Amino acid sequence: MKIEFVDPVLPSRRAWACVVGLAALAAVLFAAGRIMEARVAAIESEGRARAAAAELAKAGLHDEPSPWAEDMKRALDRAALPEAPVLRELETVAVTGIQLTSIDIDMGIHMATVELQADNDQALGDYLDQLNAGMPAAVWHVERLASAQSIPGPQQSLTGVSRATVQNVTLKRHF
Amino acid sequence: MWARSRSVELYLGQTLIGCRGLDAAGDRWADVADIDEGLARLGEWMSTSPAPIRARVWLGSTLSRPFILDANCGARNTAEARELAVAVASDFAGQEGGSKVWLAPWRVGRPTLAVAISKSLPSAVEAAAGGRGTFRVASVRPWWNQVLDAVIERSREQARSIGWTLVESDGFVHGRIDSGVVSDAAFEARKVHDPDSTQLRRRVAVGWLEVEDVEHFAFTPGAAPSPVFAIGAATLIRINEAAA
Repeated sequence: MKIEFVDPVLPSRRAWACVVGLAALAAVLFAAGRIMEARVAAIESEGRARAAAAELAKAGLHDEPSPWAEDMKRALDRAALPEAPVLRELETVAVTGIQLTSIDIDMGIHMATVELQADNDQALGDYLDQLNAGMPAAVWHVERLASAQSIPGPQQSLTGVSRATVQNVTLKRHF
Repeated sequence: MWARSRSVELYLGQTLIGCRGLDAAGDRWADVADIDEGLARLGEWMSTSPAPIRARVWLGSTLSRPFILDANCGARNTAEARELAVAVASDFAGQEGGSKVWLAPWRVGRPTLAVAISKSLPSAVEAAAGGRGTFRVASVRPWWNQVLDAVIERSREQARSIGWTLVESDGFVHGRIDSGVVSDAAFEARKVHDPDSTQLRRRVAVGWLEVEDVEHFAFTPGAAPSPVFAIGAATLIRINEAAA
């Protein structure tokens, strides 16, 4: 049993304010420390990356193509689908008197070869015009033109000479 | 400033003052005529210290008088019990100028120990010893509280009813503990015709016919330091055995 006449001294408001202030200061310092640590780590990481790149450059690894570089290039090239615009042009253009017989895409030289039959020169001319429409320069060219069979009725050629045969045409486009 | 302060134990009685821990010279004791002279002497002692002082003040029984708030006092709660204790404190304690009352935890239907001191005593001690700049009162307790604790512990351990008395230089405290619970406590001023309170001890003991044990203590100012009694000591007197 403790008989005591002096009341226990409770911390004053000023003391509590000091404690709260110190706690806040500690929290700010802790946060600042963490931020500084993160920044230092980022700088160190960047430095390591630069050093590794410098080592690679010094070893000349970037100058000599790796054995699979060509395969990689081809794979990337195919993945980019460069033939897509060509196929889209062929899909969107349709002219009466033109019948496609084959489409060949050579990815090795980026060349599209289209075999078709044209009933007359005008149809062929329209077809070429529509394929090349919107291009700064003509990209589709007639590679080969050969008569295949006669068809009945008069036909008007581009040159004004009447033709009565179906023409086998080969078009090429580099892409 | 208080980080390098000196801890001092003070005993302050009506006619006796003491001090421990002020310097390497050891305990100081002095008989005084009254409390005013005692405070003046304490002030002189404290002024010799170069360092600020943090003092624990132990009061003699005359300056810290116990009384019992009866079980049938009519209080309905702790607040009412405290108000009653404050109201009757002057009757028991005889303090002028208002009393400061300490009240034990109050329980319905049980007697409660209360202690009264003069309201101005702590500040008077502080003022006499040099003021707040160099002297601070960390604690003010009755010295007899240590004897009471010792008896309570023994009574609780043995589950016995113990009557006890303590003779100090200027007063006499007695009480009764039943299985660790204070059931009675009172103060008697020292009588001129009975300087060592022998007759008073016997008279009080006559009223304890139902108690199972009686212990009489006497305060000894110059006794060796003890872990229980911070300053001074209590000598257990087997008065019943001596009388037999």
